[in-house]
Amino acid sequence: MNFISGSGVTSRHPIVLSINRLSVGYPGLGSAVEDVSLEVAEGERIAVIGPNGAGKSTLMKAVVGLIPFTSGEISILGHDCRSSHDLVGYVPQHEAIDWDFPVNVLDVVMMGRARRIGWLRRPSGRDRAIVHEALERVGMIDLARRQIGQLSGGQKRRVFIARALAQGTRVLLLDEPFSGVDVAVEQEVMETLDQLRRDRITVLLATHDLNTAATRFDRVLLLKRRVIACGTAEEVFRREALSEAYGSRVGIFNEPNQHETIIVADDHWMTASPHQNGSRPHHDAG
Amino acid sequence: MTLVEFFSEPLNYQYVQRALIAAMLIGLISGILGCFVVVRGMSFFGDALAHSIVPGVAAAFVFTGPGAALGFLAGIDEDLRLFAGGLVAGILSAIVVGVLTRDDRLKEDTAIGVVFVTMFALGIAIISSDPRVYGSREFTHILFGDILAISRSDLITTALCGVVVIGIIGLLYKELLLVSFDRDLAQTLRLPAEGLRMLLLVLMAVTIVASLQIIGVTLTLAMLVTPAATARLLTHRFQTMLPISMLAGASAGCLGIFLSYHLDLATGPTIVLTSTALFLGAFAWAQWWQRVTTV
Repeated sequence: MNFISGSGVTSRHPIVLSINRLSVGYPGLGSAVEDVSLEVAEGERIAVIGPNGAGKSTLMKAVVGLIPFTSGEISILGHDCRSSHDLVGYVPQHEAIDWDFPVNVLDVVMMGRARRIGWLRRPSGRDRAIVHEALERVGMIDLARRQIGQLSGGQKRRVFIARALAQGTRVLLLDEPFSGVDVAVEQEVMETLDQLRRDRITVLLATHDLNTAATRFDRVLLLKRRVIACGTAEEVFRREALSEAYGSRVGIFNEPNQHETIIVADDHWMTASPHQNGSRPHHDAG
Repeated sequence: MTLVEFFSEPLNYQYVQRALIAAMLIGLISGILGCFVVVRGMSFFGDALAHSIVPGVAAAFVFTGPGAALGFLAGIDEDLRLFAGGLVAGILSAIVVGVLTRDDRLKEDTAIGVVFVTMFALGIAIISSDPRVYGSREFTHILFGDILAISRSDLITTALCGVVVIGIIGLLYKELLLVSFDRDLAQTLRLPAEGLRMLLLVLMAVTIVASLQIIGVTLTLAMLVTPAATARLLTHRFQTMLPISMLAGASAGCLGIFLSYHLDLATGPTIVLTSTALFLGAFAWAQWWQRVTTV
């Protein structure tokens, strides 16, 4: 389990993603995300947590350019995000994809190349080599010809990570890849993301799994429309911040001879605070 | 009658030859475009679009003939006028639905329901305004298709439609596939997702209008859906689905014409029923194959 303290990473590596005072609103519904600022260093891995409706998905969609934002700036490697599209890869929520669609793994990953290939052209040998390599990096090359609906939950997610790699992604955003899957799948996805560290690919991952957020990421962004807290797990998993984000879903308990324990009942996960009870919760890989 | 005679005898007639070519072309066009209709779940849209071209055809018939309001257009070949009228109405309806559903306020099927029913009602209103149209042979052809209705100019317009539809799908294959599978990725890559969707809708309108004369308004949907559904049963890969669907469409078209000739039935229903037979065959085969491979 590699836990890297957050602050060090930022200083040694260039900033790849910079979000400055971002606000995103849907017409007639007020703002879903308000005044969010965040700087992410190359190769850094950030977990975005917060209750349902906190704006995690909205934030991600704004960064990849799926929804327009009302104010603020997003820049990727110094360019405005609206022109630096292929540097940002997006793994959508599982429900957003039609898994019965008649395409195989190879077809899906090749789609990541569509823009690079260009209009009216067919994939070249180089494109095929890149797709092949992307599939090797996520360990899916053996299943390249399988229809996507016949893959396991973890494999499906790995295919979409490969697609982002084939795209040439420097910043990878994953929107709740752990929803509706078991711990083994979660472990599988995290191991794939560990591989990407070598290539210094920056990762933002929205999740309800606070254990994984606390133990497998450099920094945690706690969001509830605004940034409630952002920093290392020790800095974020605190009573005040969690209470502000999760409200009545946070309970504080005292056991004899122990520090106080904070329990957060997020939608899918019941998690004991890793910080306050002295030891980090052990993540059981199952 | 021998099998050879079954196929050779009708070929003595020029109108059968024309109908055969037209049916084959329509099978090819509907087959390739139908793959997108099936995987995107747009059958309702296709059905509605077919009905929405009625006011265009009706208006062209009523208002552009000799002595009518737009009588100066009477010099143009009648088939071409009806074709153009239908195309304009179809594309217009497709665009209006596209615009209405651009944000999430209206669901697509709701917008389709509103727009196309309006168009169909308008078509019926135009028809009822002119007693000539009720009795017209031309008009029943448009509703149900007729083997005798294929003129030389019909054949040329159908062939042109075929070149346009198949050509555009061939050139923009990977973009159209991408936007059909994952619109978000298209948008992330800054491809014109909305434009590509519109393009598909317009191509649908072109295909439906092209198949008017031989299949008829009421049954064009079948040619957009059934061959593609047949192909879907036989493959798990979109790029394989396209040729199978085109083959299924063209075979149904040709076989349907022969049957229509021998059994003296309207071409539209005969082609559609032939297509359904192919579909059932594929379904049975897929069931059998699944049983064989899973045991």
